[in-house]
Amino acid sequence: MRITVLVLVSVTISLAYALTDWLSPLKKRAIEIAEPFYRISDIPDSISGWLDDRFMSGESLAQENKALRTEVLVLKRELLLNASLAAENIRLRRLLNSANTLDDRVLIAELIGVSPDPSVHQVIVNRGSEDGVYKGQALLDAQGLMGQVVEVGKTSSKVLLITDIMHELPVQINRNGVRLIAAGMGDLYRLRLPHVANTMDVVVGDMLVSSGLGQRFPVGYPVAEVTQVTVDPAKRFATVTARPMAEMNRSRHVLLVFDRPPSS
Amino acid sequence: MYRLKNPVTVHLFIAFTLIFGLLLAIFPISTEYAYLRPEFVCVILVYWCINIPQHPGIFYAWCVGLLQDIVEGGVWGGHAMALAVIAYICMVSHQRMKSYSLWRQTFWLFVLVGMHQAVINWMQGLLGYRTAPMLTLASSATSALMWPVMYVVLGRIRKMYHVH
Repeated sequence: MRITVLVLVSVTISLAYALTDWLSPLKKRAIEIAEPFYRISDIPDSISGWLDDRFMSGESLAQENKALRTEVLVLKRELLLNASLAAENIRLRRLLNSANTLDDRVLIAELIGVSPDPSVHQVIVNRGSEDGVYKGQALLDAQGLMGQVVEVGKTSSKVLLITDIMHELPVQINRNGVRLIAAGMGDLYRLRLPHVANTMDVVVGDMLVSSGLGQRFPVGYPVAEVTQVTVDPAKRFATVTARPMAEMNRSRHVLLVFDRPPSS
Repeated sequence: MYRLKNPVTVHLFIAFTLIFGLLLAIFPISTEYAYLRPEFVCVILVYWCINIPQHPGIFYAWCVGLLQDIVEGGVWGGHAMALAVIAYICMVSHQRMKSYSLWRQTFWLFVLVGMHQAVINWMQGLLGYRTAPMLTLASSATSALMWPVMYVVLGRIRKMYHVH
């Protein structure tokens, strides 16, 4: 008797969760309940990171230092080039009377948990509303776009990765500006590009960047690289897949981008 | 030696083992192996339901499931329903299950966790997530293989603290 009631209650809750947004105020609290669990399960990882930092031989430290210095030099050179390009870009944009693109502010965050269900591509980061994180904010790693914030708690938030089956984002080909949609397919290493006409100019190796059309993601961040284009004249659309630039299951240190004032 | 006779402490003790199981359930592992992760919470709950059937009730199991849903971020009510059903089956048949040999229990656990996975899969399906049935069976198989280990470890702990 009791089991029937409990099953009915569970089904009601599940349907309310999946099909309505009645539970959304509770979802916010949920991430706060979940956070301590993820923090505890993250302890072994953070300890090994701490140990790596502490017990490093002087030699390897010096080596790393040297490598980092070279990298800084290389990056600085690119930055110098970038500065002149940015200035030129602003001048050209003024000529065209269009608005300047804003410089985005970023916040460094750390992954403290990943979704235990392998078909759900969600991660938990250690920043929340106290740090100004907002729903819909973009998450990057050093290589490219990773996902967007879907739930914000006080000191942690949940991020939906672009490879999740529920996620799609507007992109454009960096080479020619063709606009496309990149959809997740539940595979960490592949994105699907639906509705690509057979005649469209897309080739293997094309870089896809965020187009900013959905007003969700900031413009111009690398998203994926096209890995396969199959044109079958018998089919209406070409089959195109791309590999995400971001290292979905390896990056621990990530960036949250503020492309709008934190107050909103 | 401690003796846990007070029902409240026994409840807390069971809750402690279940929370430990929950921590194992969310411990970050590579996605390639995540399909093989045993359903720790379910296995631990089955152990208590068979061995101390008067303590963790169906409602208790349901609450644990709801906590697991909230922590794991799946569809709420999925684990709750699955664990409540599993607890019900175990409590109805605990005398029979207790009399089985360990290997027979292991096989029976494979079936139970399989049912648990089926319920979770239905619920996750509400959001559009699909897992191939063979992959869900992989986790049932590892859960079943975990059973003898769990049986020994939890049995030891139970003897140590005289939980009856």
